[in-house]
Amino acid sequence: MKTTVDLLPIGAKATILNVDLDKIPLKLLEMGCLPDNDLEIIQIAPLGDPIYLNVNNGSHLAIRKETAREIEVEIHEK
Amino acid sequence: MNIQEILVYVALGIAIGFLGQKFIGSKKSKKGCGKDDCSCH
Amino acid sequence: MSIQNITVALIGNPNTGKTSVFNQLTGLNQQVGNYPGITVEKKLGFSKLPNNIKANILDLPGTYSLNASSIDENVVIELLLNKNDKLYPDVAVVVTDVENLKRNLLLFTQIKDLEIPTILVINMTDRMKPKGITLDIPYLEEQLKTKIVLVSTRKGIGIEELKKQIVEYKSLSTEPCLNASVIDVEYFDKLRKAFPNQLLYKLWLVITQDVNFLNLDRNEIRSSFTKSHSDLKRLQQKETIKRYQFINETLKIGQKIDTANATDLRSKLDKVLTHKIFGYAIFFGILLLIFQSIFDWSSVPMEFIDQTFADLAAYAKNQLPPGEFTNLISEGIIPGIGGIVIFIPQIAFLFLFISVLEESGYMSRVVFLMDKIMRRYGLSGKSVVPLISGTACAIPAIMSARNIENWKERLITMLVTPFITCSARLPVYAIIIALIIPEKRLLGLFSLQGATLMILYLLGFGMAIFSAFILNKSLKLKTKSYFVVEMPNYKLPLFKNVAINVIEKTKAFVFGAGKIILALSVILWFLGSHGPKKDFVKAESIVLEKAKIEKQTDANYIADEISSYKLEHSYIGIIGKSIEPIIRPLGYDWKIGIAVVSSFAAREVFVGTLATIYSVGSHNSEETTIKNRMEAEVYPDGKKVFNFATGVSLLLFYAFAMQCISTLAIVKKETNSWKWPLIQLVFMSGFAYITALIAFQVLK
Repeated sequence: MKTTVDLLPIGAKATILNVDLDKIPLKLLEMGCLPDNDLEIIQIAPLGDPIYLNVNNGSHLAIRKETAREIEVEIHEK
Repeated sequence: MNIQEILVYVALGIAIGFLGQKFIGSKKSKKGCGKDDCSCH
Repeated sequence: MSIQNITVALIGNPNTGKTSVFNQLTGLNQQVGNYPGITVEKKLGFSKLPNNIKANILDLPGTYSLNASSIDENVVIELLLNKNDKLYPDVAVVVTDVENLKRNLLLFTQIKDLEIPTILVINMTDRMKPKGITLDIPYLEEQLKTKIVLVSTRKGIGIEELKKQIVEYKSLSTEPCLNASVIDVEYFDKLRKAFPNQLLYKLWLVITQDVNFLNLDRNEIRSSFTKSHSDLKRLQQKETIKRYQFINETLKIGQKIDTANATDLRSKLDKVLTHKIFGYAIFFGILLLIFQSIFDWSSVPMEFIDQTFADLAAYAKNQLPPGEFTNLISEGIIPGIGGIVIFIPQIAFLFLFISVLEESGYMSRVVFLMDKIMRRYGLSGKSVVPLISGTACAIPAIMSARNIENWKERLITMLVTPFITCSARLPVYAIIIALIIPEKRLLGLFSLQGATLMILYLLGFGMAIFSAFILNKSLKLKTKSYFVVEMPNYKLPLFKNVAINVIEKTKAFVFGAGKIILALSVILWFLGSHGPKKDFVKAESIVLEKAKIEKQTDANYIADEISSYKLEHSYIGIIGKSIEPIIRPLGYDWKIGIAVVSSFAAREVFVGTLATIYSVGSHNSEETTIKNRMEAEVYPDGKKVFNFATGVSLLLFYAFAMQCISTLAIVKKETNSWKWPLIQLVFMSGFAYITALIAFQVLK
């Protein structure tokens, strides 16, 4: 199922399909947010934002919801 | 003037010179706050 | 055999333990300074290697890639692009974290493209077993065209091996490990033909980055090879994807991770530390612990130091031949030095805590927890780091705001950080609290004095948040924003790293601020013990005359009178009296006024100044501590100078006033304009004056 990262629940695993290259900073790509890489939602901060991810199996980072909205993913079925 | 008084004026001169260089001189040479940043509160 | 000097650059992502490797290689043999013209910290160390080789080891700022997004990262690129730089490395050591190889290798492949001899250090190898990681080193060395050294700074493994490898740097391959120019063959071919003597990747970096590059006329390159901004960005993205493809393929074969063997402490800790209730409770608890310890635990060594210096001053006075210079030593210099040394315990504690919070990886969790809340006030979660390190010193704190990506959030952070109680305010708070707050315990646990200190910290923090809120509403700045923060793995802080950090920072305080305090105390002593001829020299006869009329015969009383008459008519007395009308409504006498004014050089000067003024003003040399002297200070009508109302007024003034020239200078530097520091100076000091005024008038 296709969705964006901001809509994923804690624990969800997904594969990145597409990132909006005009809205996502280069730095995020360099940290592993690239098409075909996997990601997992580790934690969502108490007020729903930011989102704590494990990208490309090892790169742990937190991004804000507004950025997460620009990352399109395919959820892994359980 | 005795030796003790001379020493006092020497010390005073060093102190004024140091502060002058620290707060006035350094602004001209655009050196930020010196080598160790946390030295100057 | 002659001694050979080589330069080694340590490069790596943040949180890879690069600084631990640096500390292991150099020990305490390091110098911390700044790069010329900018305030990026430059760490240079020295290491003796086998075969009589001496290495200058440069610990470069942590960077995720060679595409710079901050001045710290610029430093790395500028150095690596400039072969004429004195510190241009003979060999680059790229430090990586075994748990995060994929991402860490991105930077490695970029460094390799610069054709510098490069060693790959895989650090934290003690984590391999618990994480079920195995590496095929020969395969990786072949693919990455490098030598790999497995290091565990925690266990002290691999450092000797690294030293050996550095010595043999000439045998390292300088061949790139992938060909990135395939992303746009035509474009790069043209580039190569136009500049046949230059490295292709270097040219590419010059085109895409904003760095100074001396050897090439960048305008020439830019004009003939210009592309639109978005085209360049697209190419950079393609380049990144290309590099990751190579890395992912290499690691697919070279690295095996058996997740069945992995124990996951990280996710367990994350669950608790970022929990919606426990997370905040733990954060608050840690803050409470920090403030309690600063006040409570450091009071014993502080009292000891205070007493020792009082004894020392008395001893000097008795032993040295009497005269002016002896007075300067016992009344000016010794109390002056005492005024510096006394704060070492508190400052060391503060840096200890901050260093542990950073090293352990906890600080990132706080950033994560606080981001949404801070955003409401126009700040970022990343503002937490400047705000917490502002409790040590506003200067490095304002510099640490650099990693906030959004300019408005960064500006607001820099403007409000000086409200945070820095270590320089601590001595002032400590001594005034000790004077006006009784030494009682609440519920037999928290000391009342500690609680007061905590309130003052909260007040500073609250004021910072409040002004951020106002600034956020009133500043009209449109900025594109994004926010990325790395969540590093939890680590038990290495004793050596923490110790070196605490020692270095405390040393910087003692020898940096210390020199200013010492110089000021010499000048203050002179101004306090000399005066315009007329009144000053005749002080004795005038007082004796007066005593005769009043029929006073008590020798002690007369001696006291002479000293205070002298002080009043000294240069400092004249200056103090002239500013008295301004500060009188706040409840300060002219002596406190002098201390407040000299605080604009450095806040902690306050205590030293008062110590100097009072010790000049007291006739007897018998041992007295700073606190006792302040306590004994009375107005002519017998009322205590440091009464409750004056104390509270002083505390509030110091909590809010912008009293630090160096902070103003750094804000000017970071914002590139005098506008912002001047706004800070006027608003903060004005606000401080008004609150102190109200407090005194209400409480007196």
